[in-house]
Amino acid sequence: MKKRKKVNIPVLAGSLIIGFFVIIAIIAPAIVPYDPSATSALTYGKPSPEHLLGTNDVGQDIFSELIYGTRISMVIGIFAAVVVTCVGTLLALLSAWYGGVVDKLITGLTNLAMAVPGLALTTLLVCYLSPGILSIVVAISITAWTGTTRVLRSQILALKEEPFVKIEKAIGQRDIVIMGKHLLSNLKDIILSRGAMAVSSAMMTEASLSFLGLGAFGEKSWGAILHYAFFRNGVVRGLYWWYLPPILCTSLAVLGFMLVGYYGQQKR
Amino acid sequence: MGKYLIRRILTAVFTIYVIITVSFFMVRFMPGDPLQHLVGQEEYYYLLDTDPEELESIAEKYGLNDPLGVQYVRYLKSVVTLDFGIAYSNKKPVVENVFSCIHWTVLLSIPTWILGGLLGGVLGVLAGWRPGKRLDCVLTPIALFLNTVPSNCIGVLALALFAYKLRWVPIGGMTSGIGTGWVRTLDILKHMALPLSILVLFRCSGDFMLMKSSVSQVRHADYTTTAASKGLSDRKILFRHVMRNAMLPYMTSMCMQMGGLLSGSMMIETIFGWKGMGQLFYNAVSSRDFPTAQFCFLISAFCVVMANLLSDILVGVIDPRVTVK
Repeated sequence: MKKRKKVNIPVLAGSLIIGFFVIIAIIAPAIVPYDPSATSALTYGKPSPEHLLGTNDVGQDIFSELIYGTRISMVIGIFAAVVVTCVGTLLALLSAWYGGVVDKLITGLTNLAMAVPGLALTTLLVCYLSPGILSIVVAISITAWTGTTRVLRSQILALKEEPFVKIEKAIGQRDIVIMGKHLLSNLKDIILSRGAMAVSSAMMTEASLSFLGLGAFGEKSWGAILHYAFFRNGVVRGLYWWYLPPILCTSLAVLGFMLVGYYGQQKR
Repeated sequence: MGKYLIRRILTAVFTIYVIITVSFFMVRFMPGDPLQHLVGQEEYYYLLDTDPEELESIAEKYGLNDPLGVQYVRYLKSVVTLDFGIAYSNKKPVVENVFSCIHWTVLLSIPTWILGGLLGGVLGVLAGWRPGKRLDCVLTPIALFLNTVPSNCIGVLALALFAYKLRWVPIGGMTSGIGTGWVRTLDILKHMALPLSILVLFRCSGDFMLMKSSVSQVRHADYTTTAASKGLSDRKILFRHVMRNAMLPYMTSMCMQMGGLLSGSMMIETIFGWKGMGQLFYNAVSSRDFPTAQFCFLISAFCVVMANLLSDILVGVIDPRVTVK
């Protein structure tokens, strides 16, 4: 019998990508050459040793913007995913464990939320709420929890029939202990991989929102850089060092979380 | 079947009712004066400065001083009669604005739906039927890759490459405003080419994955094994047994995709200056034109619910097992 675990290459690659961006996000202030919001006289500057990725329409250093953008994009993506996963897991636990009216209500709510066009509602909400990181997170999370709830609910329903859960119930263990000790610990792989998927879809939604100019006010994420590159003539003038990097970063980060989420839940 | 049908229809009606209600309370309970959401931000501050009495009379006109219940009933009435007031942007009725855009969106989304559905379906069947073979090995990573790139990114890239660099297609818009008849049709087709290709590419990759997974599930079903052991040819197994069963989930999801026909192309429309529903919604949101934004949202939600209902009915017809509970 082989004891050594086979290395899951996609998950490893995904983790490396995520780790890279997390480190960039943490050490951002230490590695940016310029203050990303500081303007200068050099507008639409080409890439040069001073400005690695050139400057934008108001003379801000694009490389520094990109580094700081990592922070905003990652924070919103991860924050929204945590909210989505927690809410989804909690609702799944309640509905599968207690059944009856609670289950009916939560399932109904899930079906309802699934019938709403997600991006449209998110956009509308962002428009009503004051722009800021928190409202973006709320708007992204509001319809995104449904998938997690559905998947986990059916998993918990199956777990409920397992002997070890039934025994705990029979000896009168408190619900909260069974949930924490047995249900959640058995589901942690699925929850984590759903969480990683949630990060990738939240980052995509955030990229779309801020591309439309509906992102967090005053905080430039990757999507927002692309927004300015597109609406301030970056594409028209063919300034590829302006619009290409945010696209690459967004896609790479989304890919990283997707790899971890998609291949993480398969049996190793 | 009858009972099933009635239950589905009631659920759909209820869903639409809840969505309408939520959108009513969303305006009333958001931070800020609801009046601000009704007359628009700029207009609101302008009036607040110059003419607070006018503002008060608008509030009176919209009945914002009435009890919430009265307001709610009035709102329901206005939704049913499709009376969403005047858009701030061009002072025309909101409904008129929206209906003048719909056909442009449909022009993009119906071909996307058909082409993406057919292409994705066929490729998906082929890849799922012979997993691990060349077609599967080439197409699956491409489809997975497309799922990780936000559509606005691909849109910007394609625009930069094909419209600005290579100058194969026009930069944006729907027509150059020249000619009539065939000349005009040809012109519109030219403008459509790039946005449509991108939309089809995305839809196709999604449908491909769907069909592939659906076929590969059926491939290991008992009846497939039986068909093979009877000595049927591969072709017969594929078309008679595998495809028929794999079609069911595919058909339902095609049906559900119809719900996104009006709201699914917002990004691409914005990038390519395609003046359809998506761009109207985007413009409404970015200029804080709340009545228009709200109506666009309600219309797209309505479409989604109707499409879901349609797919439920279709499943009931094709696979009567689901109608018995």
